[in-house]
Amino acid sequence: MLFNSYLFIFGFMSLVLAGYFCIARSSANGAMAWLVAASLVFYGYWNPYSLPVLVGSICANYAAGRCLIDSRIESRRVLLVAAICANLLVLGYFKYMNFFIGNLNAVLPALGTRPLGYINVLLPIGISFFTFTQIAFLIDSYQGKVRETRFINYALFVSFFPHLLSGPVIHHRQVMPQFAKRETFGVNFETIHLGVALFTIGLAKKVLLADSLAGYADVLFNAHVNGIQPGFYLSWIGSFAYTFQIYFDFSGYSDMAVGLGLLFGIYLPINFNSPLRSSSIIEFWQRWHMSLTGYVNEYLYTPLTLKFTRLSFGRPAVVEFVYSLMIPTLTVFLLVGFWHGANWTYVIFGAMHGIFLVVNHLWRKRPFLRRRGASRSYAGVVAGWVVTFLCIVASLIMFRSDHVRVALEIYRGCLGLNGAGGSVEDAWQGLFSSAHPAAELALLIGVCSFIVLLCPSSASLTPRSKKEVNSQALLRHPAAAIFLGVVFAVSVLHMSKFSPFIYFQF
Amino acid sequence: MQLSNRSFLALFACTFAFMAVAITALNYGIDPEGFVRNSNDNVFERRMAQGLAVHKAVVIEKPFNEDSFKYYLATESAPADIVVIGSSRGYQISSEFLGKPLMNYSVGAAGLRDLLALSDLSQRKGDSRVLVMEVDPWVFNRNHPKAMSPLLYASYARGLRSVGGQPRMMEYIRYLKTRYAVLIDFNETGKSIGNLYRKLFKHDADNGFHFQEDFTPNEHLVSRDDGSFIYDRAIRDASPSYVAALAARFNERIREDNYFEKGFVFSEEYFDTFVAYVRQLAAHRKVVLVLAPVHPLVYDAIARRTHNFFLGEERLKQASFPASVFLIGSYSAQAVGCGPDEFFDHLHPRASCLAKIFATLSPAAL
Repeated sequence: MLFNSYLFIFGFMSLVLAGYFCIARSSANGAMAWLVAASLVFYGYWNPYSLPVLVGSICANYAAGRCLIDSRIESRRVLLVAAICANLLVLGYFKYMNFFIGNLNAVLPALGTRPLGYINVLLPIGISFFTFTQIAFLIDSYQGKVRETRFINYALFVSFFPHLLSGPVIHHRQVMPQFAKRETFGVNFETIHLGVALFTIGLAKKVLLADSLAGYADVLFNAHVNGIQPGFYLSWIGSFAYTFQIYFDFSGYSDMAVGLGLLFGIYLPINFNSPLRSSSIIEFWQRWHMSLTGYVNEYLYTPLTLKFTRLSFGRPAVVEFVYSLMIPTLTVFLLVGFWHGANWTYVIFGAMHGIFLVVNHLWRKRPFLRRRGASRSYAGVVAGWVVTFLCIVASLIMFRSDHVRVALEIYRGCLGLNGAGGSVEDAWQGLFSSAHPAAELALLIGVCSFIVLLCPSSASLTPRSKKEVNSQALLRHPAAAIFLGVVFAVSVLHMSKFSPFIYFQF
Repeated sequence: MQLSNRSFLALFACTFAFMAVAITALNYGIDPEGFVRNSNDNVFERRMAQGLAVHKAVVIEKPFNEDSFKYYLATESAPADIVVIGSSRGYQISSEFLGKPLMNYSVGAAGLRDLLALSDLSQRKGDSRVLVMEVDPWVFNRNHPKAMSPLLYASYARGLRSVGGQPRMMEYIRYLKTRYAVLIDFNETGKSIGNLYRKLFKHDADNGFHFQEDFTPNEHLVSRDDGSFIYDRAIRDASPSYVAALAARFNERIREDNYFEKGFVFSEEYFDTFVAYVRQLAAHRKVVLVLAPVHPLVYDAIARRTHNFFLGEERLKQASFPASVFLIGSYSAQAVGCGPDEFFDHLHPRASCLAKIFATLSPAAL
């Protein structure tokens, strides 16, 4: 059941909301139980065989967390390590086992051993997300940071359907305190108003923009299947199309998730804050998939940095830089890349961003910048934006490609080494019914650029946003209600085809 | 002016409701392709089909939806003794060609889904005595890309369910829209707005077709009253040397054509479904399976590029069918004795070639 489907919007969601508000009048616990049940139905609808994995994971991690909170229990550290390993093993089995077998099989024949057979396993959707949120809970339980320990709260924190499949990666301290408050449950028109607006914006991003761009991006990334070497125009246009597609797809999903949470009066963290406006890679990661960045920063990057910084005390500045920044950054981003999926393209994507970040930090440390504050000039910001945007596009080519050699072929195309590849019109000919696909694409990219660069971010609509300009006032204007009503209707008209979100695969 | 939360939500809901009702009403009222209201007489294809009940042929001067035309032909005409279904490679099978009255419901690029839909559709008004089915190699292709008109969805679903449909294909049905879904479809709304604009601001004096009382060929495509087609002049008058050049170009192109590399997947599931369906049809009528050849210059090139492209022929010849099923022809022009000059292009045999195939059919079959 997709957020962008008739069944979800007019069936499941309407029913769950109605039931929730009826039950919440009399019992907050009942309302939470209703949401847990609805979330399990939502999850089981995808694949009922994955449901035991989710339920088992919730129960086992809750039990482990309770034991870790109890300071009377000895060997808590052993229990923590065992629980984290168990989570990673389950994740590894479902998500990475065939990847390891494939790579092992590449070397086994050389050793005179028979290749191993692949396991026939269906990846439980959202497993990366619910595993990571629960590992954080375990670590915080061990460190004594967990205050809320009721099972129903925990079960809802993990399984709440708006974030279950593709995030945002939520932290227990962001939502479990909300569950403990009685006023969270009930009809709150302010949050419903915001929720409807955010859900509509997210739906439009997905079905009107991301899905429209997908066809253009697919031409480039499927070119190798058709035996075509991508030329200069095709490589650049397809790469730009994919950059905008993944942004609108993922941020659209996140907006819908946050909007759905608000319909129930529950605030989920904002995940995107106009990342394509960033003028440096450091800024990009502060604005892109913010919930994952926050998670990684707290549980991986900071502990690693502290550890390595201690090792570098008293050593030369270069060694200190390598220890305190380079090693933690590269390690973390390699893992972030690998978290996305079992393919070398994701690992390289992570490595690229790790390198970009290291270079960005080095650039910030250059002496003349310290003296003149060059990066604050307008030209510096524009130059920074161009370089950052190109780095993002380059990394997303690797991210989207089925294979490293496909990405390399596209890089060659971008550099003009495969020739121009004909006119833009030729590149799309026969693929679209429109008589002027190039004009259609230009219009789409123009609209997307306008939204990405100039429109207020959906993050600025939320009451917990730290943005200086609060756009909530915009949402009180009658024109906004009419505009969003029309956008919602047009988006609903576009939902006639099955179109899953890109991040579902992760 | 600032709205309260409740006022905002009310205005949002009213706007959405207004849009939803207006769009649904527009699509229902205009119904540009007659998906919803079968009685919509404005539908181009329906008017042609209705006209063929009283005229001998129709000259079609603008692009049309073939699925839709054949659907209306089936619903507007009387049940036929002999029914022909298949792809464009079966267009030449006419009453004149067989010397017996028939109805030809073939549609271009027909795959298995189309055959199931068309055979069900053609038998709705009553069982025909003979069903001639022109079977192409791509009927067994799991990835056959042809989209089907919503008008045929119900027939397809009935056809597939009647043979207990294979799981993968049943999955396809789940994603098929009912034809009423077009009421809230974006593309359909675009067509409705276009039609409405033409109605209001343009006088569409040109119908895009005209009827004639004989089978005289034309500059344009001609449909006989039995549903068979006479190609337009450009195709009809293609010289053997031009066709040979076309075939050579096709051979060049398929080297890099994804369809012939990964796009064609011979599906056992599709084959089994097809055989089961033919057996079921043969319980009540005679079934003639016709394998029409491709141009001799492209046969080897396709076979080399896609090793199982013509596997269907071998498998059909091995399959056990009841005595009421007759299998004739071959995908190989050489095997049926068709020369290079007996083709309109690299894929479409002329009537003279099909006549050689039908000459091998037992007279008792028809």
